[in-house]
Amino acid sequence: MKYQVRTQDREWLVEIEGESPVYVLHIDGRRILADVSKLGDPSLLSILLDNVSYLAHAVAANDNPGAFEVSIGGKLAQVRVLDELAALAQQMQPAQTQGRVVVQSPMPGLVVDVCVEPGDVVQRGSRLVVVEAMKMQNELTSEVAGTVREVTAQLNQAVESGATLLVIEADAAPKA
Amino acid sequence: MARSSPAKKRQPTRHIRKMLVANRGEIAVRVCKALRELGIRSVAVYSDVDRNALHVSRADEAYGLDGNTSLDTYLRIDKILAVAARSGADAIHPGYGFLSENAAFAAACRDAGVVFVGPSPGAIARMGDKLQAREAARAAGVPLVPGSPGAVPDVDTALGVASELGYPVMLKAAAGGGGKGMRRLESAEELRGAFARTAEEARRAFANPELYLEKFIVDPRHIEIQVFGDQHGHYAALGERECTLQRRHQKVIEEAPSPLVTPELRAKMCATATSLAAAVGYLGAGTVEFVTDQAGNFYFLEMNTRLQVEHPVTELTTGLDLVHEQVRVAAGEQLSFLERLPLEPQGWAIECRIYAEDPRRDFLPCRGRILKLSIPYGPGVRNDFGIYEGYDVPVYYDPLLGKLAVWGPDRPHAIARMQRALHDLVIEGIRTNTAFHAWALDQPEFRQGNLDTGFIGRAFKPALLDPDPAELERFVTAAVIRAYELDRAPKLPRDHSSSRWALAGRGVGALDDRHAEGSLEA
Repeated sequence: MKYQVRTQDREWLVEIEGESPVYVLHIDGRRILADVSKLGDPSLLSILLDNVSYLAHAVAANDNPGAFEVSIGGKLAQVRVLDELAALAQQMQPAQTQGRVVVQSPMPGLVVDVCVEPGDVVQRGSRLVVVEAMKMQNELTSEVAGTVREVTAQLNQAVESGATLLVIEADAAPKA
Repeated sequence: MARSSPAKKRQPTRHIRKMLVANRGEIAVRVCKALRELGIRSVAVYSDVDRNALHVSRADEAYGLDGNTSLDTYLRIDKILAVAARSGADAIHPGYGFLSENAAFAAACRDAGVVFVGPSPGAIARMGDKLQAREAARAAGVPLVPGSPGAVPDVDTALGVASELGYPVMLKAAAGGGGKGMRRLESAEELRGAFARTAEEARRAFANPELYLEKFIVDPRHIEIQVFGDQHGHYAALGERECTLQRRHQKVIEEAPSPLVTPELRAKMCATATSLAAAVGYLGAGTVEFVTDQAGNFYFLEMNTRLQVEHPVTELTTGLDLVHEQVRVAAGEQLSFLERLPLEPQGWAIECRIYAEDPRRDFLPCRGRILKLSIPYGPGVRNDFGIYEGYDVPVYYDPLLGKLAVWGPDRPHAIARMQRALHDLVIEGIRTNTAFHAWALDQPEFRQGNLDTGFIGRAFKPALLDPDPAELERFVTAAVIRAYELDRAPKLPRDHSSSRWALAGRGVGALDDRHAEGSLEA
C-alpha cells in the first residue's frame, strides 16, 4: 500500500507491505523493516525499526480520515496519512469547488488559532484555523487555492459543529 | 544544628493505633505506606469520583465524603472529623494542601481529642499570615528582604516605601502564599495601576486585602531548609532543598543539596532556620523558605507548616523517613536522629513533578484515562505516584500525578539517572509534562547549576517539545503502520455521531480501534 504522509510541513511517500508483526516500509526510497508488537492496546506500538526500539501511541481521528496523533517519549506530532485514492480525491476537489468555499468547523470545540486574515492568499493545504475539542487539536487546512474573503472565527471562541469559520474565494483556474 | 529549649508543657507519649489521612493522590498513598511500616492502621477518605483512586485501596479502611469538589469533601472539617470519630482514629495526617495549613482544622482536631500531625494551631496561624511570619522572623534574627515594616494601607504609602526600596518591587498579599497573590512591579506607574487590583484580588482569594511591599531580588534563587521540632524542646535542620526551577512561582524540579550552597552557607542557613523554629515553639515538620541572591545572601520568604511535596529529596540524601518522624513527634517521642546532627547530605537527589498538563498549550491541566503506565524502577530511582493503568484522572483536583525522584553519588550522576528514569516513564492516554522535564534537564544552565527563578519563563518555548526533524521518521512510521492496519481491518458499522477525537479525549479512543480490528485478528 502506498501512502502520502504529511507532518510539520513535510511530506513523505511511504510504501508499506507485509503481515503483522513484520512490515516492510519504503520511506523516500529507503527500505526499512518494522517489527511491531502491541502492548495491551492496538494503539500502543512497540516498534523495532531496523532493530531500533521505541514505543509509540498512535490514535486515529474518527471524523477526520487519515489524521493521527502520535506520541513518542512525551513528544507529539499530528500526522496525516492518505492512501493513493484519498490523495487523488483531495487533488481533484478544487476543480469541483470553484467560487466561494465556506470553511466550517467539523466538530464542536474551541478556536485556538486563527492563521489567516481577510485578503490572505492561501494554497491547498494552507493552515487556516485550529479547533480544539477534548484537548485534541484539529488543524483545518484549505482544500482550495484562493483568497480569504471573510474570517468569522475568533480566537478562544467556542464553536458548534458546522459553524462557519471563514470564507475563501477559490482561484478561477485552479492548478491541477 | 540541633537546639534544645527548656521542655515546655509536654504531652505524655501517646500510642497511636489508627490514623486518618485527610488527603488524596500521591501524598495520601505516601502516608499510607509509612503507616503500614509503622504498624498503624490507615484510614482514607474519598470523594465520590475518588472511590477508584489509589489511596483508597492502599489504606486499611476508607470512608466516603459524599461530594466531589474540594470544598465539599477534602476541605470539610466537619466531615473529616466525623470520619475520625466513626473510624476511631486517634490521629489525623493532613498531607500537604487542603487542610494542612488550616489553623481552625488543627484546633478542631485538638478539641475533638484527635492528634493533629503538625504544629499547634497558634504556630500555623502565625506562620500562615505573612506579616506575622515576617515579624516572628525579624524577632528571631532571621534576615528579611528589605520591605515595608508592615501592611501598606494605601497606594500613596506604597509609592513612598517603593521609592525608598528602589524598583523593581514585589507587592504581596499578607494572606497569600504558594506563589499566589503577588506581583512584580517595575515602576511607580505600574505600582499605581496595580495596587487597588491586587488588594481586590487578595480580598477575593484570601478574604484579606492587606498588602505589603518587598524589594525584588534580581535573578533570585529559591532555597529552603527542612526543619523539625519535637515536644521535648529539640529543634533541628535537615539541610536545604534547591527549588529555583519554577514556572510562574510553582516549583517544577527540586534537588538536594543545592549547587549554590557551600558547607559554610548550609551551616548558616540551617542555624537560622532552627532558631526560627525554636522561637515559635515549632512542632513536627516545617520548611523555612529563603530567597537567595547570586552572591549567597539569603532572606526569609515564608514558612510552610507541613510536609512539602518535595520532601523525598531530603529523605534520599539523609536516609530519614520524614513521615515516620512526623508520627514520632505527634506521639510525643523524640526525633530519631538527634545523635546524627549536624546532618550532612549524602550524594545528590533530584525530583521531577509529573503533572497531567500540556506544556504545548500553556500547561493547561488535562484529564482523561491512563491507557498505558510504566513507572521506572531500578537502582537509585524512587517513585511516588497516585495513579495506575486504567485510572481516570479527574478534573476536580490538582493535576499532580506523582513524582519521580532519583539519587546519585553526585549531581552529574543524579542528572543522568533522572534522564534515564524519564525515558523509562510511559504515561499514554493523557498529556503530561514528561518531555518538558527532559528538555529542562538537558539545558546547559541546568547542568551547570546556574539557575534563577525566571529561567523557564525566558528559555522555554512550546516548539522545543516538537519532534526533531531526525525523529520525525519514527512518528511517520507509527502513523503509517496504524493506518495500514486499520485500512486492512474489515470495516464495522460505526456510530458516526461521536467523533473519534472526542472518544480519544475521553480515553475510549483505543477501544474504538480494538473494535475495528477485532475481527481481523479473530
